Amino acid sequence: MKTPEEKIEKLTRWVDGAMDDAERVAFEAEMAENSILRAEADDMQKLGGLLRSQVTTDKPLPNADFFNSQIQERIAEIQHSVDRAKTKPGGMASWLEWLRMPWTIAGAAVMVALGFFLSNFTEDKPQTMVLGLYTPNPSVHATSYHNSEAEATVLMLDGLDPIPENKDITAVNVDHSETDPQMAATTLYDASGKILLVMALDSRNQPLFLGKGSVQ
Amino acid sequence: MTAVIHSASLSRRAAHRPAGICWHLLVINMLLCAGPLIAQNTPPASPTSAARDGQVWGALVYASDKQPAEKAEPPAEFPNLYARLAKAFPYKHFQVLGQHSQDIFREYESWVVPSKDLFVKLDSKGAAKNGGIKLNIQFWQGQQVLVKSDTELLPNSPLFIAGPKWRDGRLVFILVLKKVEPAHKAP
Repeated sequence: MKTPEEKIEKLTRWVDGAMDDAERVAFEAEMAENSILRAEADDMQKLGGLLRSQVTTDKPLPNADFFNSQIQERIAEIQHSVDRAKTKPGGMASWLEWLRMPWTIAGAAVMVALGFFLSNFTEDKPQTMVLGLYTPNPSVHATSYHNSEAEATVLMLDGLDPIPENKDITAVNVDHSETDPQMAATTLYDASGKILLVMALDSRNQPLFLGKGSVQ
Repeated sequence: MTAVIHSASLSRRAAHRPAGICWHLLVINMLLCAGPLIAQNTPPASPTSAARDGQVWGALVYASDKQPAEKAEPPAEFPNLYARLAKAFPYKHFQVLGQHSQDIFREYESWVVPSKDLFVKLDSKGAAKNGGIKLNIQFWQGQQVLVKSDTELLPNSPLFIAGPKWRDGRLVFILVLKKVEPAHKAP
């Protein structure tokens, strides 16, 4: 061996068993005369054995069938995504696909049942409805809702100033009233025909009251 | 604009109250003396033009946690009023302070005045579905409008208006549709 490259090449081929018989006999005769070459050959053989023991190129795959099925499913999903991307958004195909989903059918069934129940409920018990609200005072907030327990519609006014405690509330029990167009006044009577209050409107259409009523 | 209603029956009732009439006329004369304060544009009235859409019952209720000195009997027009109010408002005791039954006339305003401190003005907009009446409601406190509302008031479905707080509780206005004139029911 004239160069180190030739020596390494021959050592490698000897370790790998790639020499033919004549070449191997000649190389082993050379190693018998050259102790250094023999030592290098032994070292390379040990290294080769060590590498083969650690690196298994044809190690068997655990659960090969499962692995293959997973790979196939993944390929199918990718293909499915590509197909969906090609479909136009909102197209018939995507709608049909959406409708085929199990939760869609279940949800639709629930909605139909709920709608049927509510329509029956509202038809049986029509309720007073507040359609619009306006509060001239911006600090007053008005909301309305139906209280099913009370079977009443509640109009809540929040932000009103409380009536002073020392103020008495004047209340009346009105049996009937008469409105006189000539006098532009409405008279409120109790059940015995006694006049309780007389109400008229001023030029700003604000009510004016005459009469005491009963104080609470 | 003031409500302009005359009916033969009401006029007959007035004719049987001579003492009341004198006081009545005196009060009205006083109002007329206010001159410009009284509305000038009163619409012409005729008994036939005042078509009735229905009748409402209104009441002013005091809701509180304090038991009233006298046991408050529920009103005849609304026997379970207190029980239903208790489900809508967080108070233990309810007491009707005043009440007023009033006809609702189409194209004319009607006033429901169980108290001159808190009352409502109603303008009928005609019949609603399910035997109701479309109303423009104004809730007044003295000379101030607290809220204006477009409402479809239906029978057996009262409107509770939660008014201002007073003393230990709150004043609540009740409005109930008592009846609807059959001729004005919506299909």
